[in-house]
Amino acid sequence: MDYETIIHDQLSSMDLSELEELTRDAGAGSTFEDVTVAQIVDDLLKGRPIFDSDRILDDLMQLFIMEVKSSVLLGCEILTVCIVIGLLTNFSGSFGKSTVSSLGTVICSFVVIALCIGSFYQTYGYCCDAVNTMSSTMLILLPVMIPLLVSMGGISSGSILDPVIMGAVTGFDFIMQHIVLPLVFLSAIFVMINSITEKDYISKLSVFLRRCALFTVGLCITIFSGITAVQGLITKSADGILINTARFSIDNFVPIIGGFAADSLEMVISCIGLIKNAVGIIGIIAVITVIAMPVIKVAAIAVIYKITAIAAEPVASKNISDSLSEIGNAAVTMAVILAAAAMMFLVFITVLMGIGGGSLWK
Amino acid sequence: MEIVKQWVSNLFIIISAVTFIEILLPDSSMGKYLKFVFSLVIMATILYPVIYLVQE
Repeated sequence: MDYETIIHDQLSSMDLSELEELTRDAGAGSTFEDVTVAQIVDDLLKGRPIFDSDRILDDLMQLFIMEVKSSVLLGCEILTVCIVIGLLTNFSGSFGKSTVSSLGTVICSFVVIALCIGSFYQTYGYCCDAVNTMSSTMLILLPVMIPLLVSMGGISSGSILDPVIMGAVTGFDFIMQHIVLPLVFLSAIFVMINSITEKDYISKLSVFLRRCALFTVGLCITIFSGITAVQGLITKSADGILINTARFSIDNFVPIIGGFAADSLEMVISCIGLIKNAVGIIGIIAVITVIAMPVIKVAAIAVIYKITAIAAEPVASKNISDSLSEIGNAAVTMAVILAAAAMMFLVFITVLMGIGGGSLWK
Repeated sequence: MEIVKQWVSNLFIIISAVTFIEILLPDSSMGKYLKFVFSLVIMATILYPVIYLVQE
């Protein structure tokens, strides 16, 4: 009985269809379309690299350029309205009364606001979807990884980390969707409202809301990943005592065959550890592919806003170009928040992967 | 969540209304007093969530 038989027996007795379907959906059209747990285990055993980094970088570049191209239309629309605003403000003298031209300017500002908020609402929707998909990825991944962890002897790790991580994922999902992302969206709306008037009515409020959102995300990530990491460290040593006691007692108390039994116990546990880490790698790939699309999309939209702001500065009024630049900042904030959320989920998966491993709880 | 939505839409409507009214005002000596009153109204709207929280 060699290690490949053990691994294949274990793999065939597990139900990974849901997880692999999720990776297939998330990675449709990209490099990770056909990644399976069995394939990763095979690659790891034969010493092949899992990733083809050149292809991944190419894919990402192409995706970004495509997204920028598809959002160029929005920039053109905004820029056209800005040129009209510039015309109206410069030719106001020839209309006789200044009221007419300033009314025209305000109405043009409303058109810009409508365009911006429309596209920003879409961005907000992408981000909400991404957070949702990420947390459901975690909720599919955990019931696969925790039993593997328990079956390789991590009884207290499994039973303590499972509720902790579940709670953290669900809580974080709720906080993101009901507090953080709406706050960023509101701050973008306030920025746009602020661009109608010459005077700054609510610019400080919008900055405050965005700071609040960032602060909340930072706090949540620190608390949740801190708790998980510390719990993981403590339970790891508790499980180490348990599994080493089992191994030594088989070795010493069972006469003659005890040594062989202890060695094969160790081998089975290492094999399960390999499968667990392969499942973890699938989870990491799923989280990254789920997050890559929206982050690139939002970054492209932010770049378009910034370029429009730069182009609009000479033509349009100061507050319009300022608020375009600010809404670009808000889009960047959304991308940053998404990336931070992905990082937290990656920390969870790595904590689970780090427990146990090949060298048996030492 | 409902109250936040209401607050934002109120703020939007009031600020846009104030902007329009300020443009359409005839140039009279009352203009500056009206502008001050408008800014008071906007301030009250901005503080609406604070007042709501204190009342709770």
